[in-house]
Amino acid sequence: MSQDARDIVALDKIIHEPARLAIMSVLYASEEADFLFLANSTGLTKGNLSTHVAKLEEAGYLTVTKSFNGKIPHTTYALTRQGRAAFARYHKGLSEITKRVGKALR
Amino acid sequence: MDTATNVERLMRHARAYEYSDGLQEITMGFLLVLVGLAIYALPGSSPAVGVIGAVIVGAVIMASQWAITQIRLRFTWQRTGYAKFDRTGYQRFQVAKVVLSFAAAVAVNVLLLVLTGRATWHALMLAVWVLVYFVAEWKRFGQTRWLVLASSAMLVAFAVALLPLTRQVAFFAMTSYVGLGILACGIYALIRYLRTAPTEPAE
Repeated sequence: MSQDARDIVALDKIIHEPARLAIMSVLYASEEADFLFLANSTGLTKGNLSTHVAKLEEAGYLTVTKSFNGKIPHTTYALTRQGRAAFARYHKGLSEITKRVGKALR
Repeated sequence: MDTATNVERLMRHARAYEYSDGLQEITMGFLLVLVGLAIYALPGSSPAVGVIGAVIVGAVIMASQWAITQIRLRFTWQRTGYAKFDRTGYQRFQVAKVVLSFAAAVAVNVLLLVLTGRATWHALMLAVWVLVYFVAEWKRFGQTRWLVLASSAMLVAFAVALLPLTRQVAFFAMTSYVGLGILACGIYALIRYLRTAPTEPAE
């Protein structure tokens, strides 16, 4: 297997799924965000977002905090240290691959 | 658009959320206008007045942050969601930005002093500071309105520098211009936010 192929295979498969990549990108740039903000930013439906958030939580990449704003329930999400490190690794790997593909296509 | 670009766009959107409703800019602009007026109204004040002024500015900043949170709690977050501004690495970015903009401002002032022999380029120095500061902010948050403000501040600074104004009046003119500019940016952002945000809270 070539180095390029190995790099692609090495990309974190949990993050590589487009919806989860979008969620991770938004959370990486903010300290924490709530369900509504994530749904608005990523364009995902409520059901879809819940499913992907659960997968990321299962992987240990994010934490869920449930609280109340007065009487209204409020759920916020934040990346764990492990999640931040995984995203940074993924982002670096993806950027390198994109750069190489760009050069090859020129 | 490739995946990497989409990721960058999403991250920038999340970072810029803090400025999407314009409240931070309205507060900052209003404060700068007040500072400009104070510079103009209190010529040659003692250092004690300066210290009292700095304490008042600090208190107003803290009170305005509390007020912004309360407004967002009642109106913004129920409609467009809540995202907490990530300050990781931001303090380092702030320090680097302030140092870089100050160094650029001093360099421009020294260069003009050497070339023209004039020592009244304070307005231009302030404008260079504003330019470097807002270009750095724009690179991080992607708000084009700040680039427009910074570029126009440079033009105004040239005009102010060429006029036979005292240092106090030049500072007043520039601080007021930048303050009103930021205020206008904030009002523009607020209008855009009100037009695009849902009118009812989300379920």
